[in-house]
Amino acid sequence: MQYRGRTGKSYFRPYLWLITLVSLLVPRRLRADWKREWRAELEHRESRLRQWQRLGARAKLELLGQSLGSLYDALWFQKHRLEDEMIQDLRYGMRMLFRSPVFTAVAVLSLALGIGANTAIFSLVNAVLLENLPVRNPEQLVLLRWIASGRNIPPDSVSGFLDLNFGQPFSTSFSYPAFEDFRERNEVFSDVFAFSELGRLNVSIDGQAESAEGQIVSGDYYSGLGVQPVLGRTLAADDDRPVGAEPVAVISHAYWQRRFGGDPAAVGKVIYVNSSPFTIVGVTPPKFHGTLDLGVSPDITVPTGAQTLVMRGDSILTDRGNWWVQIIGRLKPGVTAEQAQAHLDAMFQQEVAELIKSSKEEKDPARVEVLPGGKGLTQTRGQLAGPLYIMVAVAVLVLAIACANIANLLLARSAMRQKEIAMRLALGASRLRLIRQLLTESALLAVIGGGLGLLLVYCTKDLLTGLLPGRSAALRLDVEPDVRVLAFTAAVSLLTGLLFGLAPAIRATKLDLAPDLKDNARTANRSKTRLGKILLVSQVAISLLLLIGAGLFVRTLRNLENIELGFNRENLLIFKVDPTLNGYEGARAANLYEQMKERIEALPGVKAVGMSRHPLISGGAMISMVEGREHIFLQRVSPNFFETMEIPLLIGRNFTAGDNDNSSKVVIVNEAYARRFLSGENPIGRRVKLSRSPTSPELEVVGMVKDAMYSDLRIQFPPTVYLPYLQGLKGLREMTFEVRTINDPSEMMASVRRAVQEVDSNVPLFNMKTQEEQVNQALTEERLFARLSTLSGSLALTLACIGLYGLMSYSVARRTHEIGIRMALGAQPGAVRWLVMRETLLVIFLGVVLGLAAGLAAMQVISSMLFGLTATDPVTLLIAILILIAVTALAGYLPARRASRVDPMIALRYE
Amino acid sequence: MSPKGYLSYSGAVILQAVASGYRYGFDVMDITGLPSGTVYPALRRLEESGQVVSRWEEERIAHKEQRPPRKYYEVTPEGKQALAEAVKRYRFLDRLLPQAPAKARPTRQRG
Repeated sequence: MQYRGRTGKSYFRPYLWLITLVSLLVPRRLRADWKREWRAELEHRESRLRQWQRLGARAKLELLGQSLGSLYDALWFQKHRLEDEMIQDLRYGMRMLFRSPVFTAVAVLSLALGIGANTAIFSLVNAVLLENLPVRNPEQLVLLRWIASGRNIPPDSVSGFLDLNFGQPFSTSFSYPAFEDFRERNEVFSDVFAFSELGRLNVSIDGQAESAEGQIVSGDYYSGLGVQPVLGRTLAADDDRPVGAEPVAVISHAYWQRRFGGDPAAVGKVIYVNSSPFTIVGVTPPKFHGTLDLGVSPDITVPTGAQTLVMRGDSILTDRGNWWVQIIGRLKPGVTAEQAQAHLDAMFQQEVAELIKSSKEEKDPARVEVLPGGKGLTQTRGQLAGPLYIMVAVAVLVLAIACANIANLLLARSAMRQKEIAMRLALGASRLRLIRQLLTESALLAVIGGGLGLLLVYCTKDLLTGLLPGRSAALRLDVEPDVRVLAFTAAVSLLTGLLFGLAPAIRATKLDLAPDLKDNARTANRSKTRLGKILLVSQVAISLLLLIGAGLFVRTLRNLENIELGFNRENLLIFKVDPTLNGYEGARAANLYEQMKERIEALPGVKAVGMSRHPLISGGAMISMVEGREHIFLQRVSPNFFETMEIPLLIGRNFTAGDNDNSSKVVIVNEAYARRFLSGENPIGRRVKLSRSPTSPELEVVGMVKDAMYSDLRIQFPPTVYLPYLQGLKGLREMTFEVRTINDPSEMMASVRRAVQEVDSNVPLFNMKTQEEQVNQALTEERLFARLSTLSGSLALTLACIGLYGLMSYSVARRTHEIGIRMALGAQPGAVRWLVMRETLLVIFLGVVLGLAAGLAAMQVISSMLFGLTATDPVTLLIAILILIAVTALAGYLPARRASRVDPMIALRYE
Repeated sequence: MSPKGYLSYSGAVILQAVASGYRYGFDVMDITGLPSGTVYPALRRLEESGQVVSRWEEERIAHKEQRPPRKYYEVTPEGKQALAEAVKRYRFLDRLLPQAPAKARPTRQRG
């Protein structure tokens, strides 16, 4: 009611307008009351002032000033707004969730799986691709890399990562003198340091030999990174002086725990690394695994001054042609990466120009680039990115299905709550408020689901690293969910809550009040089920997509598992030794190998012992290029290798102990080689060359063996040339022993180990496993993808079925009346079943068409990961479609059957 | 959070004002000299902690003066107790404000 002054005239009253404006801040529930009080006070004061004839401009200004205080008053009520409506919404939401426990359980579980899968994959992505090294200000670090402009690269020798692809070779390896130049003459770095992977070291501690991973670094490595030791000291700048420096080493926290049991007395201890004494001076922090590639976590770090001691050879610290160290620098404050790159490239050009000038061959120039160095070397990270992104895609698809499913369930549920919603709208609740209420419910679901998902990830975090393929399977990753992962999960949970909640909430509150209040379910709008059906079609499509993927991966795995290896993988124990690290060379090493072999052969339970340069199916191989771009695979083997591996000799003779450096050079080839290079003729007596080089000697073929797999299951029967290991003793390095046992080979491990140690206790065995384990290891990635895709495929299918069943049940329940009339008019149960099934089948059909189209496009992405079938393998497609149709049709049939059993009498009375 | 019943100085002054018969927000502002942005939130707080209660003025009185009914505040027994506590802390509090003239007191609404 508008009160006016006694004269009936309306006055200029900005203070009242202000109150109306400010009242918008007051919670709706309290607003009317609040506004009334303020207005009354102001109008009372105003009427008094008027009575006294003092309602001038000044008084009005005062009134305005007083009404400004209402703002504070309104703000005071804000906490009530929060606690009132939010708590109300939450409480109400909880109650609604508890009221339908089955719905809640299904929704929460599917969300937990969906969000859990995403969190798990994200924590891997985080650990592999996002997380920086645990060092001081990692964002300041840059890694140097060079790119040659042509195919011929400047240095004579490059070790470490070198990519020859795309006609532009690039690498992160530099020569040590180049590093020293950078260190002394650059103007852009506050610190710069070099490091290089040493690979396997033979370490002897207290007379016990074992194998450890090593790296070699410049003296300022730790100070440059800002890594403090947990015990003792790290390396210092003067540790890398080649002469006069005491050989010292720093060990990793993991190695300290593993090998010394965390004993502080480890510092100061002298250990023998590749037979040279080193003093341990310190232990690095547990989370610091160095700057080498992901999965390379060196146990022992030595300074570059000790290079000749650990690498056993001439010093390469002054060799400009040998590029082997990686360089990381810390940018000075204010220096950008571009400035650093320009400055360093200018220095690098002199270096390269010098090299190209001194080299006889023609070489292409190169330029240097700076890359972000906060993650160290990123080679493996880059390789893992592909599989990781596929996993991300799968996880997102599963979550999408879960969302669609819950959206569908919510839609069906909101239909059941139509009356409640209509009632609340009719009683004056605003639509926004109702949407907020419904969204609160979905957010609640999402948060509970997210919490459970996080719990799931936390419980299975040790399995997570196992998900990573290849070399990284053994890597020590910290996938502990950190702040970033928690934030991700929270964001995903809320986003999914919004995603699956918003459409149903908007839909549910868009009501024509009158018919809904009359509970006229028969005329309820059909568009509600249409949205549900669209969601279902997409669910079916995604399920099919994942099922096809699962089928392809499972069949790939089976193809690879059942592949004919060409040798007997059962009852075979393999291990490696490398006595050359202990100083054994040539004939002495061969002699040692023979002694070891004899000892093992003498063990009870051993049938035969063979040796080869590379273990089979380990990924490692010696490859040589012949005639054009053809490759042949080389393998050095001992005389009884073929008998031990049970690779049949087809024609000719086997190697003997007489095939040594004093006799003529001989080789044995496999069928594939004879087919490919000797046009399938009898190879015996033929002379072959092992490389393109014109100086390469001609070797006589003395035998041919049946085809066998070598390095990789995916390279079926490569053309292979076997060389007797006793010929070419000069280049003799580590060897793999293959021990054929009568019974379970894993039971022989201890006795074989003892037998080898009896020959020389300073030479450690490493990589001891059964051949079957070796083959299984080669299939880690395939197995992972098969499992992951099967899991996600069946999950998706289950969710789609729940969705289909729910929607059709709801549709049947709604049409009970109609069905009753039809049956009363004489419709047969079969016709009623068809009536309902028709809808289901249409959804499935559309889903299959859509899924198939998407599948054919998407599967091209994974075609390189398949084996023995193409991405459009018709059998797989057919099986996937049949499974999908069978299972979803069953889910749709149950409501249809229920519909056909409707009793017309009851149905007609049903409201 | 201060313990229940504890009064800040301005809270005590406002409560004292209400107890002295200044029962409308603006009257309290006039007698205490405190701005509306202090008085109103303080009154809300006092009401929340049960030291004052508010009631609407009778429609009849308001109508006579051609304005909407005003809301007035009264001290509850708890409020009186809290005020007595406050007087021990802030001496002269009870002598700070003059008693309101009788006509400022509203008539209670019946029913």
